[in-house]
Amino acid sequence: MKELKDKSSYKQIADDVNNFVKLKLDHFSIEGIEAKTIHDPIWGSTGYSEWEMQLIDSPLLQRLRNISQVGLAVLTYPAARHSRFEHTLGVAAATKRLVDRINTNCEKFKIEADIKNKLVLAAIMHDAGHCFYSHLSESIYGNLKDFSELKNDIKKIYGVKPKAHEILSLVIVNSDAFKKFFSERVNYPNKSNINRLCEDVGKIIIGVNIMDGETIESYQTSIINGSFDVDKLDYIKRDSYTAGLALDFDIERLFTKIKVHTLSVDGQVEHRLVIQANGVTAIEELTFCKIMLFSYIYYHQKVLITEDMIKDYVQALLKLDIINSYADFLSFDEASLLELAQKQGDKKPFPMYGDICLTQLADNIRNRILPKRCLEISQSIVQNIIKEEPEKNIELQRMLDAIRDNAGYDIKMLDADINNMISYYTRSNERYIAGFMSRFESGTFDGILKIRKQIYDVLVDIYQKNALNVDFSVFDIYFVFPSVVSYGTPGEKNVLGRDGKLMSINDFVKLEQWASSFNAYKWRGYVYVTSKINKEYALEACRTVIFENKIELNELKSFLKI
Amino acid sequence: MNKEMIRPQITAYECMLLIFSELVKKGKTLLRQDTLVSTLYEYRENEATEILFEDIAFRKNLDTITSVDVEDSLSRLQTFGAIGRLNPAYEKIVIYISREEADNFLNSFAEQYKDAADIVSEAF
Repeated sequence: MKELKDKSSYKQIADDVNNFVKLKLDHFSIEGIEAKTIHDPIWGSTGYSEWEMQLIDSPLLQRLRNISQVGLAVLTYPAARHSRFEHTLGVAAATKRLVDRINTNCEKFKIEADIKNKLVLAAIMHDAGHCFYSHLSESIYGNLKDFSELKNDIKKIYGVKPKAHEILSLVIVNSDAFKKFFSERVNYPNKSNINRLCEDVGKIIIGVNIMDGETIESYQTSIINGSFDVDKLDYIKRDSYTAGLALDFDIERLFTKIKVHTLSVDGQVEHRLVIQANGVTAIEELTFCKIMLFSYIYYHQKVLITEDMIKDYVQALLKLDIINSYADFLSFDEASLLELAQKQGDKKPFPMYGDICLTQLADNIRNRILPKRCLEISQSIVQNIIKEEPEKNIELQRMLDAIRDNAGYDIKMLDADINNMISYYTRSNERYIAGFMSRFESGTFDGILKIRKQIYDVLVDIYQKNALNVDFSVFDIYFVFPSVVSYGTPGEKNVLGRDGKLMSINDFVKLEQWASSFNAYKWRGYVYVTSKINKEYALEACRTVIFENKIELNELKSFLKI
Repeated sequence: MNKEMIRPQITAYECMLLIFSELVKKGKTLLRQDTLVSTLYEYRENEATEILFEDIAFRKNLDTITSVDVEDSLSRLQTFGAIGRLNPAYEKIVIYISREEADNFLNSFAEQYKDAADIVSEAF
């Protein structure tokens, strides 16, 4: 990791993070901490050793108790109050079971105790970098300029694109303060090379394969960060359980069929995590549960709007210089974050966009005063916008005539014409919105704010034309444009056939195709407005700004309560 | 901490849309799906085309090359109706972008990106 640690992007963030870790660990005493059995609704009773408890009981991990696992989904699913802490314990429990089952399932390959300990350490530390409201905060600090530079450096060196919290976890584990604590106070069984151990753990967390000499030990990374990793095994079960959703997958089948397979290509050896072919159903179920979970919880329209409201609030804290460092991101929890508004509530963070103050932003979240949808964007809401092109029928006839008459059709031309025809004739049922949607892709906070301002400006015009009083601001309008649910890489060859041949999940179930079709019809973008704004007028403004008045929309009023 | 928020010069989604737009211009609207990622992989470090791949990571194992970013972008393009996948074997991607739309999209990017997309699209 020397190359990464030498980068200025790393050093800058590492210094900040090291100060935070030092503060958490320097005065923490491990005296009296013993091995424990912890009971959990997902994994039952699990034993944690002395060294594991020394880490788990440390303030560095205890802070995860105050970071909710599913962000503000609790405002929609009231029982989903579980934290990153329970999830971390669950991931560690799942790691232990999975490693033991792999050792039972494999005849020749065995995961040694040292490796098992390393994987449990990675499991315990994998979410240590999470900040308030989990993925919500990482969508902010992960796009700051210096953090983006670090992400680019990681991509250049390791070829991976980890999530922002995973990068913070890597930096925490490799901070001097953590290594000092770990080597001097934690009774880890093998401390012969702490630097290498922490580097390996960091790499595993961000999804980089571990090398043992010339052998690629990819299974180690795959267990923590892979297609069917322990993180997913825990969060899918835990999040659906606490939200009260009946989603489940056959974890026993998965545990029974999982193995490490030795693969050799051109003299290079890889130890790869695989599932036997007769266990593929468990992976199908897992993928289906993940997609449904996104649809039901993480991308629920109420959850999305509450998250956007808190993003406004956090951006306000950044603009007002209340949050000034990555250590601040790591230090605040969800309760202390909202309390900040009480101390500095009258400050106005966005003078260009009106008089909104911190207190208002915080109060709306705290009191669950949520804006409501005025527009839902998806393939289903647009009328068929593909223009009929009668000349295509003539073109097709001409093409068929030329082929039939053997009139010296140029092969390249024929290829292009056939492509063109297939594209046209199979397109007729598609609802094409890419032309409008592409400009909203990957918008920054400021970019999205500009769109909100455009909607606001059109609304003001409408209000003025109707001689109505404008008593709302840009912050009464929200535009939410979630990403699609990632179904991973089903083309990866991690299914072991009876004949020892490796195949991909796609070879069995065309998983990426049904998952992407499902995504296509499930995805929704939204515009919300508060009760200060007339929704009919808001819808009119959205048609202008988002669809440039170019397409017909299906009737929305029946289910949007406009 | 630098508080400026940035986004990639070209996102994975935009990269795919750019390449597909170039393909539309070339009259190539049917693609084999199984070789798509490995073909793109070949251009990731090419001096003339690497700028397209700022937001795309590949995972290369001993026997396969995969990319979550490419998969997610395809899923996004399908969600917005820009591409489809032909039933029942799904081995082909169909591009539904019209020539006019392709031109509009290409023109929203600087020459160097268009040139890079032109080079990559030649491989399909």
